[in-house]
Amino acid sequence: MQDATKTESPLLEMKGITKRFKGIAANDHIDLILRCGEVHSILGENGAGKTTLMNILSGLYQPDEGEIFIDGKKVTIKSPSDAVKLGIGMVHQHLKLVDTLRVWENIIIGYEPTTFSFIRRKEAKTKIKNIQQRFGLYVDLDAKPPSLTACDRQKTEILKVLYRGARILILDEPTSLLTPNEKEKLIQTIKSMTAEGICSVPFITHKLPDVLELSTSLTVLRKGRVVATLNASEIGTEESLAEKMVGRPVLFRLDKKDLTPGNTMFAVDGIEAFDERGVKTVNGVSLSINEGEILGIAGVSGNGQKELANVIMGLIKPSKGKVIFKGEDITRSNTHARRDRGFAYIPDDRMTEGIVPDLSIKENILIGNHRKAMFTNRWLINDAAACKYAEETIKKFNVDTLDIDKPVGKLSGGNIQKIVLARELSRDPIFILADKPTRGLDVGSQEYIHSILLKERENRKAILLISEDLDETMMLSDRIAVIYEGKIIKILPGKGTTKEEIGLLMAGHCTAS
Amino acid sequence: MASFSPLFWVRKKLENIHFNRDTLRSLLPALISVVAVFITLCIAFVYISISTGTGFFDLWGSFYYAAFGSASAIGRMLTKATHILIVTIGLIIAFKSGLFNLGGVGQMAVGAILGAGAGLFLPLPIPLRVIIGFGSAFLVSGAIAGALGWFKARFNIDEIFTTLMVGFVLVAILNYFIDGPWGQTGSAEAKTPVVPGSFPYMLPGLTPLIFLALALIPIAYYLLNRTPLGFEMRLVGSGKSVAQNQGINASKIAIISMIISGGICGLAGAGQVYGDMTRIVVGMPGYFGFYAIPAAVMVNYKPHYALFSSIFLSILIMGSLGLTSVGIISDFGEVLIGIVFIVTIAVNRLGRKK
Amino acid sequence: MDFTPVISAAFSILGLSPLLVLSSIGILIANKSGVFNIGVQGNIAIGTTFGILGVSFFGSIWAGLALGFLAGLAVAIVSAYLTINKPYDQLQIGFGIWFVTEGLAGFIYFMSMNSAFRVEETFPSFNGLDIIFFSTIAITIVYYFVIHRTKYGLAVVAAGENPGAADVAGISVFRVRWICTLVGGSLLGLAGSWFSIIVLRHFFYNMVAGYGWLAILTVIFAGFAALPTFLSALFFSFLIGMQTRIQVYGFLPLPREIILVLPYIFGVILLIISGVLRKKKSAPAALGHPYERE
Repeated sequence: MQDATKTESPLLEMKGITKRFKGIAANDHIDLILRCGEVHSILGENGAGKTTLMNILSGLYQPDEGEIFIDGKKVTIKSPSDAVKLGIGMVHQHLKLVDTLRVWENIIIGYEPTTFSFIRRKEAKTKIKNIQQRFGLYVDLDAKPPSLTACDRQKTEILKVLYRGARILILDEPTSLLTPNEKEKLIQTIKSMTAEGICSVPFITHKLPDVLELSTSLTVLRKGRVVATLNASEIGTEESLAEKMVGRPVLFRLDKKDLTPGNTMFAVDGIEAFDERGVKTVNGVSLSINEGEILGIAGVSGNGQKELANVIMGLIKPSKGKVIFKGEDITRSNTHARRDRGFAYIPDDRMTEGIVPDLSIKENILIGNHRKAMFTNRWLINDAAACKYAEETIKKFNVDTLDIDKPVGKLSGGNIQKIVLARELSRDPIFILADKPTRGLDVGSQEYIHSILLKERENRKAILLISEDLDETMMLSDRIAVIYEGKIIKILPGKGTTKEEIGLLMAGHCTAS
Repeated sequence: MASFSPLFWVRKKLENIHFNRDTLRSLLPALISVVAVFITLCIAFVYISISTGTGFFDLWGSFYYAAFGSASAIGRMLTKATHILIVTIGLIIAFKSGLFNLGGVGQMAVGAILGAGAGLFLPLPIPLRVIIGFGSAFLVSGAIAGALGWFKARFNIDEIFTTLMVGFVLVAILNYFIDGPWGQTGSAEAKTPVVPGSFPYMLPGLTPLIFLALALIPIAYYLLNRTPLGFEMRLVGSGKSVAQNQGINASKIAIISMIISGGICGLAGAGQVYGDMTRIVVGMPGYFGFYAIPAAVMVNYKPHYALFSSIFLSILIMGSLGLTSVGIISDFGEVLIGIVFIVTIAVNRLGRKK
Repeated sequence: MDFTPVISAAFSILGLSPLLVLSSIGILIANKSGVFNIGVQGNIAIGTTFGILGVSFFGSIWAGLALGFLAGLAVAIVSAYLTINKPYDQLQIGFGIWFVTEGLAGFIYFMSMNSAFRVEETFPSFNGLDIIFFSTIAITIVYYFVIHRTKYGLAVVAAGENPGAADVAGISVFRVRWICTLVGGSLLGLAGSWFSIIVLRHFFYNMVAGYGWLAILTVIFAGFAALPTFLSALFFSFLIGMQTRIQVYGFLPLPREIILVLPYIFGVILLIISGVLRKKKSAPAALGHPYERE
């Protein structure tokens, strides 16, 4: 990692970029300079304005104020096509691939070589193959996106951008879906691209380790403003960066007490299950979790975690295997029965599975309790009791609002997740399944939720944590089970295991123990 | 003694309708719709008076007279409004659970068949026939809708289309009955004999059917907003995954709501026989089952406002029927309803900034 | 055994197919780009009205067909504006349009024509298969090639599946959807006018009842693909036509009322079969969702 060399005029310069949405500045007088051959990261929490800035650069938004210069010349980027003409290509966080089209069609879309509007197939494919050779991005051109791995889909997006002749490659959260192994490959690819002449790679992320590894320079955004612009040598530690992102010192190592786990509370044995497409995604999973323990499941999304979670909660029936709770076989029981036994579930997609955005806070907290005696009054729901309970609960869980009639959808991500936790945990469960509980949340909320989970652990609950965030898993779990292609490859102790070990297992490498 | 008077109960039901802050916001689309209708009628009447020579103001007169002009006109208008209202309530219950029951017409047909059948053929005292007629209308219609709900739950077959198509088929079955086995011999048009037990008129054109409709409003409101079952229905409707994660059986709730919805529409059909036409005539059940769709959407699926939208649409229909005296077929009412519907959607969207 | 009457009967039934087939293709084109108009029944109905009107006012069948086409286009313009430019719920708008157009179809006809009008001119045909029939086949073939081989086809598929992807590729999702809706709507109007002018030769109220709905269902049943849609629509036309014929010959004694709703009955059966057999939804992913650039 060297300092960026200062050559002639910078490749890209953004001056005083300001963009407001409904009066609030998402970008507030932002300055940015990129030079040829650099990998410049843009760091910030959710909502700091990173994606807005890049959307401006790629032509999806127009800035309210400010100017953009490319190669020293002032430009206006009014649409994605303008951006492409200027050599700017963005690889979006939410991949923009058409599932029913083949990879090569996805790559050339909008820029097809045609004769009388008929696509010249061979020519297109040859051109793509040349690019593949040059950068080493190999993907099956005739496949369709649903059958590809996340890594390959991302390669397709990158190829798309390269096909259009991009010199500035914007990568928006590119590593969030990759295994450590794939991440390495991507980093290598980026390095070779900068060497090859793809000049500058703004790299948007909130993952600090990736930033440290790759960047030649970086900008930290906070609440729409530039807080720091650093060169490689100035970057410093993860802690200092986190502090700049959030504005205050951030605790990275939480206060985790040593506990001796109790009896086995919950176990699954030999679970096999299919997903909604009929593919067998869970292929023989056996786990057990004890009282006062957090078992973390590490693995890239899509290796069976979701179906396993569904089986555990009783939402789908396993084709084979047993679910055992406190020694009893509950495989046949349904979700309702399991909840009665003390199961709590924090689902991974809070907006569609955790809360109902249109209903009020009061109603969302009532969910699950709405048939209980203390909330019903003969046949009707006792509104007064529901109100009181909601008010107590939001206070207890630090939710930033006092209006229980507000529709939940209007709250921030962190507050929404707090409501989910509030609802689930205030019923005093015995077993907690937390699926990606801090996904997409700001550092502050993450901290809070981690502390809650640790507190439950101290209260002798059994907690199963599914997460894509290896750091989170390593920090919270007493034991870590690595899942790959529907099987638990190995269960490692929480202390003393290295990231590399886990990373290898996540990618499928089996080590003889 | 006052508590036995029907008027007392009407007033009590009206009191149960809650007015809160978004009354004003809900009124805006209605006002704009009225203006839109007014403009459309002006344009249409200009066109009509040019092509048929009828006076412009005469047309307005016919329209007004048919809708409001006499006690019997108002009575008839209110009766048609009750048909729309009952189906609207049924639709609202389904909509709130996330399902589109578009088979209102068909379910009305089934209700009409059963209601008339019970009245005409059961060897029982008349009040019993009426009760069985309505009861079976509810059960059978509900069963049909529930079956279609099951298809949706089990196979994900879109209930929008199944209810719609089955609805048309059921109307055809009704037509078969009045043309064939139940038809009154010797009559020019297809119809059944008068069904015994048909409700008497309180006012010209108005039968106690309206009380049934008004009673349904608070029942629906309390069901949806104050009972655990209604809560679960709304959960399944706005957040199915959340409901399932809590252990609520979404399929069961969906089917139950379809049964209730279909049952209520069946009641509308029996109601049309007993409370309006006194028999099944060709042309029944008409498109009231479809007009319920804009009626429900216009009030944002709130049962306590459904009465007003139903009356509004009924005015449009009855007024347009009045134009037949100058030779214009009544489809014009449908055009008006369509325009109102579109205008409401547009305005609603404007009023709600996301 | 002499097959001639059977063959000629088969041909004449086939000749009736354009109503359903052309409607289905028209709907397919619009749906492929992500626009779903449930009020298409009205497009066809308007076409029937203006078809006869055109013949009556201009004296020629071609004029009638053209007018039907244009009427369908006009309705399509309105529905395109309401569903593409505005983020209104397509289902509700569709119903609104259905009410308006179905009502107008009857209203305009009876306002403009005094008595029952019959089309006298004959239309050239080969054993019952006329130029519209062959045009329908041609249109289907053109559609297939455009979708699979040209850049416009790529744009349409993208607009229907992932309009966000199309947008960042520089494709104007609005323009694509507008064009597809207008083309589809016009074909529906043409189908309607063809039916009233050439098949029935006069107008009666609710003459195309159910065909619009059946066409929508046919497209769903056929998985939104060109050839299956064409063949399915052809097949269902054939079944309906045959049933009517058989009724005349007295084979299968279904009541008259049931014959009239055969399209609906077929529709339900189609839906149930396709639902039970098919697990995966093959509709364009963005179907029915208005596109708003965030």
